[in-house]
Amino acid sequence: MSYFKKTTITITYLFTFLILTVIFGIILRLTPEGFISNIKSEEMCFSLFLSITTSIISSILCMLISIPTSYAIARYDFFGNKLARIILDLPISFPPIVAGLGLLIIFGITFFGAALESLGLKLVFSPLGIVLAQFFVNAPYTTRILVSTFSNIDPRYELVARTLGETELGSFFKVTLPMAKSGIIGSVVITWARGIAEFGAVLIFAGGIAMKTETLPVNLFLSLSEGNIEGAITSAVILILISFIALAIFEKFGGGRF
Amino acid sequence: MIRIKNLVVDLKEFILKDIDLEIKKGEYFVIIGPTGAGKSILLETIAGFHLPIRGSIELDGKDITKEEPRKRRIGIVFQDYMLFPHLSVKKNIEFGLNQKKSYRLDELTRFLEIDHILQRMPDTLSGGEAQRVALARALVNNPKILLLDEPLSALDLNTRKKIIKMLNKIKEGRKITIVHVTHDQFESVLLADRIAVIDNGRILQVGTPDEVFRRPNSKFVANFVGIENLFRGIANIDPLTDLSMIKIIDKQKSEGLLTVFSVTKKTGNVLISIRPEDILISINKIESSARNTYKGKVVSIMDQGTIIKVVVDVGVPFVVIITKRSFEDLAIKKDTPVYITFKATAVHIF
Repeated sequence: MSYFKKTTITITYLFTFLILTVIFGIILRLTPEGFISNIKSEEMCFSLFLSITTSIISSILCMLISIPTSYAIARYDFFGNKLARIILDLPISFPPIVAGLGLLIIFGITFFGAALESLGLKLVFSPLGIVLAQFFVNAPYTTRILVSTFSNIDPRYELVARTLGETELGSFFKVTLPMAKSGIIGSVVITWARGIAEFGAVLIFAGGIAMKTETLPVNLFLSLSEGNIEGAITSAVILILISFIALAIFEKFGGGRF
Repeated sequence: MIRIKNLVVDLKEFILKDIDLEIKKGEYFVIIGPTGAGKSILLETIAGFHLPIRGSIELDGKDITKEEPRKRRIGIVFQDYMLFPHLSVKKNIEFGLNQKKSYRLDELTRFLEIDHILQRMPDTLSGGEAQRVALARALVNNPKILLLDEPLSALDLNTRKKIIKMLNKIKEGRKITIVHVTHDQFESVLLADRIAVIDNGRILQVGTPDEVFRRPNSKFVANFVGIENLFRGIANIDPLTDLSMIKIIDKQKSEGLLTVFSVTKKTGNVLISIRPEDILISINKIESSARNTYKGKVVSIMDQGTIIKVVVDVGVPFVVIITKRSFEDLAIKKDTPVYITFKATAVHIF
């Protein structure tokens, strides 16, 4: 075996081992009694429920906005296409905590936020804010995945469908969407998993208030700051389990293409 | 009838300029041109995929320039089939079908010999099968126009022949106008009633294959469609040799100028061609198994670098290509009497 081959393979082993060490470092700390008592606690149940519901709602919102956006970017040569693409990519590269701050400024201290609040839409420091924070951080990512999915589908499939009697909408639903199935399932799973894991933006914008805006990652953070190591580990293990499930679904349907 | 007037399509990376075409009802019309000439864009514009910035497209007197594709009564078939991968063959064919017309399905699938693969998925089909499914899908709604975008280019020779036969039958059996885009001149000779040559977004020449191939109106057309030694003739089967015996004629004189033997059996009016590199040139008559030997004289010699193009008049002019070495060995000049010889297998009949 050549040195080059040996070196790259050795690095791969070390890297994999490091990841495994970290994961097992958490899991092995967990005692069955601690896990059961923590998972039964009211706070844990609340945060698990809150995380799952907010992430599902934000994922649905992400898909509703990202599917038409990514389709337009992939298909149409409209004015501002390239600029829109760059701007939509921006939140991917800056830290979620910055996104959280931005949202806090817009919805917290501007006329716009006040107007929404007078209509009964309280976003800052509220569960609704969690949904918005997750959406804001994840939708650009979802859009990016879907742009590549739609770009890979030859537009001539739609042309054929349209010569066979379909409208543009009909050909989208009957041809493009089914052909994009694996990309869409993949992006739903990724969006959902990232939504559950989102911490920075949620903490800043929704406030991380115990029993109110306490998602799983916030629960982990709060437990840790209270010195409740077992509680923190329980949250961590649940988050790891969710990642495993997401990865499994993703591998099965997304084909590991992203 | 399709009438295209002053059509300009601007796709930024490519422009179709001032296209004027009239395609008659029931005609098999071939648009031929090199890669990147704009033929597919023209076809997709007829289908309604690109909106022209100027000009109009009429179908049977009705302006369809801005009509949605679904209202144009057009079927389209692509080189790469474009079968919907998530639907079975049957579902693909039935995609555009409204319930009343389902009786057509059996007839059509039997004709295209795909009735045994209806339950399969597109990714399990061979190229020829996929192309026949795509044809069935395009034809099932009884379109007025069938658009074919390089439908044979991805197929092997035998499959291509089979599909050419089917296309000829479709042309004869239905009142349908076919517009076929290709870069292959033989396809156009085999199928076309008329041909348009396109390059760089412009139509250069329109006419019957005979007109375009024999009287190209520009250097580009001559170089691109250039079928040398293309002759019109009347074919009969020779009972002695069991070969086709073709009397070469031209428009002025009706008696045969020359008789040529071919192994391809066909009778009636035909077009034949012999590749210039399949013809032997010699000073004395060669005794060989080749069926076709004629005496004539050299009328012109064109030096093209490593090869020499010699035109020999044997009653009709034949273009012969030989290497520089053979040319020097033969020591021929203009007016030298020579023999040309070619096998009956070298004669292609269209």
